[in-house]
Amino acid sequence: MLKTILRHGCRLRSVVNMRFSAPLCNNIHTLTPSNVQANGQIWPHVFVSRRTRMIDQFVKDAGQMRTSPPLTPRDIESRVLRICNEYDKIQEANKNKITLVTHFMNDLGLDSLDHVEIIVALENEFGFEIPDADYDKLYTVQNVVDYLIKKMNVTDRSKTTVSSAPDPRYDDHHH
Amino acid sequence: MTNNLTRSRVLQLYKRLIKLSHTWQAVDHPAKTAEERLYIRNETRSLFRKNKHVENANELEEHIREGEARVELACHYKNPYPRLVNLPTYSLPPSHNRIRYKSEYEVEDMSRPIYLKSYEIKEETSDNEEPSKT
Repeated sequence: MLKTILRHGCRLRSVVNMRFSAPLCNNIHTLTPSNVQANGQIWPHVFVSRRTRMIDQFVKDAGQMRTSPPLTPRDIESRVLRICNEYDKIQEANKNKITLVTHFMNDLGLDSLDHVEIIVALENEFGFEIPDADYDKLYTVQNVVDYLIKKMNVTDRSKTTVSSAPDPRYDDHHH
Repeated sequence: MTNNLTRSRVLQLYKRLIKLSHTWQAVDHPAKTAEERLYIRNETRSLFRKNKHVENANELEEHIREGEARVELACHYKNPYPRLVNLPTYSLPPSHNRIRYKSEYEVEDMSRPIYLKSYEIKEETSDNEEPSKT
């Protein structure tokens, strides 16, 4: 039984490696007899359509493992400022005036507990733990940005990432 | 006067509570997850700020214990709300017609759990309040 399946599979390898568009995939599926044999016998054309659907799913999953775009310092700055603006303890008057040189305690009137909350929000955003010993260094926005740049090894020129995922611009033919 | 060790302990406890408020899942009433998360966050903020001016080392230690006890209880019973207590057994409520002897105060002190320390209501005494140092 397994040998039959493998023989069928090997014979169809050239077909299986192609990427079928959705309408063609549906057409292939309708070529089968209406009820797929449930007793385990696998028809070649059903096998083909199931394999293409699996391959399309694999391609979509691989696309989700795509690496994030390389970070630039500008990107980090904008994210940090956005998180600071979202913090609800900051008065409305100061909200949009947060710049790189803002000191959390002196300029915004926050205390050490608020500082801890902001750092926890930053940890959630950037996805890594900031040890307690470093909290003392992070009292101004500029210090936070520099610290994050150092921790994440962000360089100024953006490196081209080489990934095996397909180009997102050409993904549309599956819809 | 708080030395750096207690300060870092307090901040670590605060951080742990804030992280708990982000990842809390309500087990008994799943629809109330957001409400319980908000409760945890507001509770930590208000109680930590209320007790910010505690200077006495023993009191500080007990407040840290209170925080840790509440975290452990919440994680264990999956319920962030503290369990309230009433008068201890064989005791009467205070009333101005009745003299309360020292033993009665002691029994009541011993029966109060540590995790409700911030909710204690101090009886009005005629002592002067010490000026609080910030």
